[in-house]
Amino acid sequence: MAASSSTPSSRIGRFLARLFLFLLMLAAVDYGLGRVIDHFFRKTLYGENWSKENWLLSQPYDVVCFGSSRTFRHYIPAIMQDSLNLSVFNAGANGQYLYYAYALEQLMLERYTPKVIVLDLLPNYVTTAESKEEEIGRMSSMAPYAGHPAVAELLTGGRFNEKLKLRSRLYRYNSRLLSLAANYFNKPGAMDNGFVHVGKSKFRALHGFPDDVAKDPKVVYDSERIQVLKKFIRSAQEREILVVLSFSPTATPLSPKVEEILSFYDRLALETGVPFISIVSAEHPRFYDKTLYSDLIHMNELGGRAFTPLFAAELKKLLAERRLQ
Amino acid sequence: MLFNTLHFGYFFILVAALFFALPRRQRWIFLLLCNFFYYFCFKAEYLILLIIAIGVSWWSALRIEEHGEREGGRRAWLVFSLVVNIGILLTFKYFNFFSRTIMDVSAALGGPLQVPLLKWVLPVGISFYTFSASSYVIDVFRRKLPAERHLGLYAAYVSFFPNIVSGPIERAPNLLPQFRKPLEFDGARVASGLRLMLWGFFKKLVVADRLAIYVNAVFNNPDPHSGATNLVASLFFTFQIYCDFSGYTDIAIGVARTLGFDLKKNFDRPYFSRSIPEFWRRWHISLSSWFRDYLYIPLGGSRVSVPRAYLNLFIVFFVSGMWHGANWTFLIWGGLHGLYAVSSKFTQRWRDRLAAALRIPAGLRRAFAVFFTFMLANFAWIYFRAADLATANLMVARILSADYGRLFIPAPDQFVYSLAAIAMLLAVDLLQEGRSLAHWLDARPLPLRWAIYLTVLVIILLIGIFNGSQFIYAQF
Repeated sequence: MAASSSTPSSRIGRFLARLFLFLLMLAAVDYGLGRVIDHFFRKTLYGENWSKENWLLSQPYDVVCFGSSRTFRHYIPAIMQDSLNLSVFNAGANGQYLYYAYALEQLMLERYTPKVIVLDLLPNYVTTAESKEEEIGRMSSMAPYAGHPAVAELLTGGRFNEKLKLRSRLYRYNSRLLSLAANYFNKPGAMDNGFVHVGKSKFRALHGFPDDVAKDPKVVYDSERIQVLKKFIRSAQEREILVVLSFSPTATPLSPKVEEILSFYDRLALETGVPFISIVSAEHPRFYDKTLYSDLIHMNELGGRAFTPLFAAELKKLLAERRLQ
Repeated sequence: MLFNTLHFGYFFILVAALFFALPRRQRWIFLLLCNFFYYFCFKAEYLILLIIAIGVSWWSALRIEEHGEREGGRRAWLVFSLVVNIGILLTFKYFNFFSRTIMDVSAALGGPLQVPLLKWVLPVGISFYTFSASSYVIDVFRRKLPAERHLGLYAAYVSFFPNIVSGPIERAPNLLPQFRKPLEFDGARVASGLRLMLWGFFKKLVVADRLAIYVNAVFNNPDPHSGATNLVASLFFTFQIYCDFSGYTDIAIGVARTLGFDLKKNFDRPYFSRSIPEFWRRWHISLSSWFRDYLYIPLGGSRVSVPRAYLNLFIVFFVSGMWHGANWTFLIWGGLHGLYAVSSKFTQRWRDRLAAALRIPAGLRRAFAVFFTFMLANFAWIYFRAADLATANLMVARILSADYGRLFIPAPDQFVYSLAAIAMLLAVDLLQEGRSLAHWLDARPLPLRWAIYLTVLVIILLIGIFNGSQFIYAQF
């Protein structure tokens, strides 16, 4: 028997050689299969959060609106396109806030330079109303883009173990194979450059701003998030893109806490030299009409159709001033 | 440092590499340090309790042996050891339970009493290492085993890191001598250990943790869900707990095997059992056999009157429920299994006669028995998993209601992964009926074996849940 006659060190050596070969094969399978999935993934367009990134990156747009579920529902690209005579994409996503917007902006800037970037603000973009971990935790749809340093840094938080996991190309598609397959065969139909027609959904007094829901009555600013917001603005400005901050209406009057944060955004806009289009219901009382909303802070399609022309007109004025149209 | 974290991966690689690099005589010292470090990582303070358990049981066993034929002295040391070790276990597990019960009962009787509550976290693995240490002292007392004179080797046995958190509960006659055995590196053995670990990770990450998402959503709030949803959640939990616990055991046995140690089998595809007594011969085997040897047989086992034998059986299951924790849900779970086991024995003859009279084919009878046993176990698991009795009763009421219209499916693709995971598990378990899959694999050519391992790894990467969640039995 060869095994029994060999020395322990030669047996260990032989075992380690085999183990190394196996790990090499695993790496090859991970890379090869990962590339195949990647190939199909890049061809998908349809889907809310999951494949919206691809749609945005698939072709250049002149105006891109970033933000949360409010952006997703409030900015109707077709109306803006007619008004501005520019191509518009709605990159807002349900359950996503500033970190997602920043990561997506970085991916987009790597591929093309739009003329205008709109960021619809939520109060909690600069506060501690939600933990960073929770917010980042919802960004797993960005895992396929972990090759980009800014995305990788956000997803891993700089932690070695998380970076190691994302080295696996297959892991980047963890729990997404079936939705990817479904998205691959589904073609965009109900969506309009990122906008989803939600219809005339009925109003329910739910979903306040995270800051209003938070127990702490004071505004607690998050310096890290403020830095990310500034980086969001700066990286666009460096490419001579017009950055426009915006705030869209709500079904009820704003709380003092949110008012205070809006003042902060005013100061930030001045400091960074970007325009801030704030269309609040207090100044446009017709937006207190609850038939325009599906909940406290999300307009339905009727609301979107009422708000977008107003916003587009403001944006048009800005573009005319800067001769960008 | 749970098995399903990368930290454990680094720890394991380092331990395995250094273990085989060290001279044989020093390996036990290294292993003992690793055991203590591993335990220290959970909660440093509780290392003291582990050291007390080791010290008291080791010292008591030596004293028992020294007393030779003097039964009184021997018995005194046995009692001392059991009182200290089981006493610590009872204090941590049941003090608050009894305190709350006293407060509840006194309040119900109109004279509410205030009893202090402990704010201690249950030390990891205390139920497991206490049982290992206690069985060693009892075995020495019964003269089945000579007392171990080497404190270091004994400490390495009780604190052995692969099985300290959730077993298998190892008996000294099996594991202790292995620390003296000269261990040579054996590539085939290491590969076999790694393969078992791979299967354990599949069970934990792909099946248990995935099912946990649905199970937690429903068990945490069963009220708004339909009977169908509650039933599906209970079925999912039945598979979740199996894969969580047996997955842990597979990883533990695999880790030990790579280092050259053999731990006992703890699961043998229990959901293919044809009766509850058979289920308990195939589920958590190390605990069932512990209770058999140290409780059931001392109570008289089956060599007593029939009613007494039934009572003994019921007591064993009831105590088994208590072992899991201080909660009425565990007691009901244990009590249910006790009732099942007694009823199974009681009705065995009638069922055989009925099957013979009706000429039911053996295959059909077997299939029905497997299904019925599975459903009985499933029903009891509802009590095991539910946060309290009211929740469990609510779930049972929902399941028994006629409301089977709406099935809660928050994400269809995730639900499909769950079903696929269960199907893969059952397929592998079914393949092992009457044959050893490990032996079958060993007989295949290397490329085929590697292709199978790579496929399992790809499945884990694609549909595993990597949130490093706790193993259910680590809380016991």
